[in-house]
Amino acid sequence: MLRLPTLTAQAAEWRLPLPDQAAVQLLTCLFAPSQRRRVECLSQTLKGYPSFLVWVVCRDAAHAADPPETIGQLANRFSPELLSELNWSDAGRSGNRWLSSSEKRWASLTERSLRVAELAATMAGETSASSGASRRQSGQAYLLGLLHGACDWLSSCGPAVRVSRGATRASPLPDWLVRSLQSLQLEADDGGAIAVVRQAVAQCATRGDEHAVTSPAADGKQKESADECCLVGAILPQVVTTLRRLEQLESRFEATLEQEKLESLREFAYGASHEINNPLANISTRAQTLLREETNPEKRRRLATINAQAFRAHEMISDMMLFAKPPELVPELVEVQELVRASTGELQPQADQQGTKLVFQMPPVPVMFEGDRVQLIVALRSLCVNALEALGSGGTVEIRVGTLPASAYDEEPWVEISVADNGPGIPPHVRRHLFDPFFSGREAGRGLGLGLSKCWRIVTLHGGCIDVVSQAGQGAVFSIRLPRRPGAAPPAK
Amino acid sequence: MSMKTVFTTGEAARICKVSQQTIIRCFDNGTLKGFRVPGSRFRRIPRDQLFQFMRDNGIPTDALESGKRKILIVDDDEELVELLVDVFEKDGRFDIRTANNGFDAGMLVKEFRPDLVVLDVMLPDINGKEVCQRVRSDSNLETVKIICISGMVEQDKVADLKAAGADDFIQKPFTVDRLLERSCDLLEIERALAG
Repeated sequence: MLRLPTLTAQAAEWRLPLPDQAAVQLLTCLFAPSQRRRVECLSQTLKGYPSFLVWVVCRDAAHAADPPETIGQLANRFSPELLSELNWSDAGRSGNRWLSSSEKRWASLTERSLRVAELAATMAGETSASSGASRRQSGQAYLLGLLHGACDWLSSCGPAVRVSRGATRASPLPDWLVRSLQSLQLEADDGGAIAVVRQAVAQCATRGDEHAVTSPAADGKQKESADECCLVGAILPQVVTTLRRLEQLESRFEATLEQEKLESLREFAYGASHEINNPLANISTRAQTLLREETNPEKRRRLATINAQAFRAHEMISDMMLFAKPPELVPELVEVQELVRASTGELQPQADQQGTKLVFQMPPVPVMFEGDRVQLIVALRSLCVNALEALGSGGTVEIRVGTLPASAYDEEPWVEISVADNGPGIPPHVRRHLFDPFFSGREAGRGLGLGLSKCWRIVTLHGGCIDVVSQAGQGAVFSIRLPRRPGAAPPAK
Repeated sequence: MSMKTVFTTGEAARICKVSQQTIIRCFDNGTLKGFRVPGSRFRRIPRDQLFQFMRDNGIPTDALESGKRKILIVDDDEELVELLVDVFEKDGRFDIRTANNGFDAGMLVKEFRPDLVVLDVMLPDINGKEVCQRVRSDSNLETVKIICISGMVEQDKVADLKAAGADDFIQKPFTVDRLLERSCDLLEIERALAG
């Protein structure tokens, strides 16, 4: 017989037994082909093995205040947690040894629990009026009947547990079960499932074992199948560990892949920055020295272009490096309006030159938040440059500052800065990859270079998010949303 | 500084590559002869007295003779070294030597005793950080200024270099004027006139 993973409350530990047959059922459950089959199978296991039921109820911590109506409902809500809760990695202090007297006690506890449950379910079914109500009532009675000995189960494999009112001893039981068990001890005629279970417990106590029940656990078993079950019980922990690793790998795959991509980009950018910046230094220095001696205006213009292009290539490499390995954030208190002005100040000449109007919509009251001013200026400027480049000439770029309602993301209202242009807009297939530095199929003039990727990276580092709304022919609106301080609660999608 | 006839103690210290305190001490105890400016009582040293002092104490007198500041340019990219030599030569105020690896750079720093080293960080033999550390560990070389140049982008590495003793860092590619300006600033001489 296997022990279930340790239940704890304060410093106390309980390790409930898991019969070998239950282990076999759990294995079937873990490998169930569908979610529905998994729930059914878990339901079956819960119905047949009260110790496992007690364990699940204690581990169902997310619903500690919310009693399940039936075993089916409990199975349904616990099945997604099953794999992560079956964590045998902490063996607990008690280890796996127990006395044979315990095994006898558990067998009789199982039998008693099953008998009370069956009896209570039958009684509840008889008393109910409609068939629907009857099914619900008997389901409820069955669950409570199986759980009526929860304290005995726990006391048999750890410190004694009592639920009498005023008892303050530690117990892993959820609040709803403690309340139910307390009312079970009272002699009140409160009707409902609790009264029925109370009656069933009393009847079982007087009638002895004349009302024998048939259950998976109590079935007469052949020696052979018992041996096989024993084998399954022995390997279940390993199987669960392997399954869990598989599940973690699957869920982490995307994030790991992204991380690896960034890491290899960083390596590449690092090498490239050394190898490419040296020849660039040569090209640019040569152009600059020639430019100093040149008097012919046309030749001067060409030399200046050579120099400027060398620096452009250098900036691409710096951007790549910035994307792959951004410097650590240095948060300070920043005024959003000032941030916007600092980001757009240098762009005014470019806007004037191409006849684009820069329009600002900012609240008169300063909006303050914590962020890395230098990096955010880089992010915001790249959005504005992107808008200017998308327009090419004419048009309007509107920069708006606002706050998001507190409830949408966080307790504190987030800051929103949006940059809207009335340019040609972004086709959907490009939009999907807009912030992806690995995507090469960008359209000319839009998202050229790594500006948007850089922006995405900086905003994400702040715990914020960036998105774009665009319809072909109707321009694009890029919105940066930032928490009041870096890495506050992640936005709920 | 070419053909100045009178020097301040700071200028004399730079020419002799000793600290200003040393010059003041020698001035005050009479080993280095000079006069005080009437009224302000600032110390001044005539050229011939300084020359005498340098010869008496075995200090190389070439810096005083040429009036030029000494620059050592270190980069394994020979083309770039050639270009930088061009740039500094055009200015006319510098005496220039070059090296293409860390070993030669180390030798030249001791022999040539430059005022300024323009140092590429990625050398084939030893890296620039080590060169900085070696220069800084020699107390005779404490007045040597070092400008590091490199194609690397990572900010934390730049901080490392400065900690190792670099006075300045310039990213490759750079504007020539900026390199010249920084060099002049570190040597405390006037920035060259544009063009």
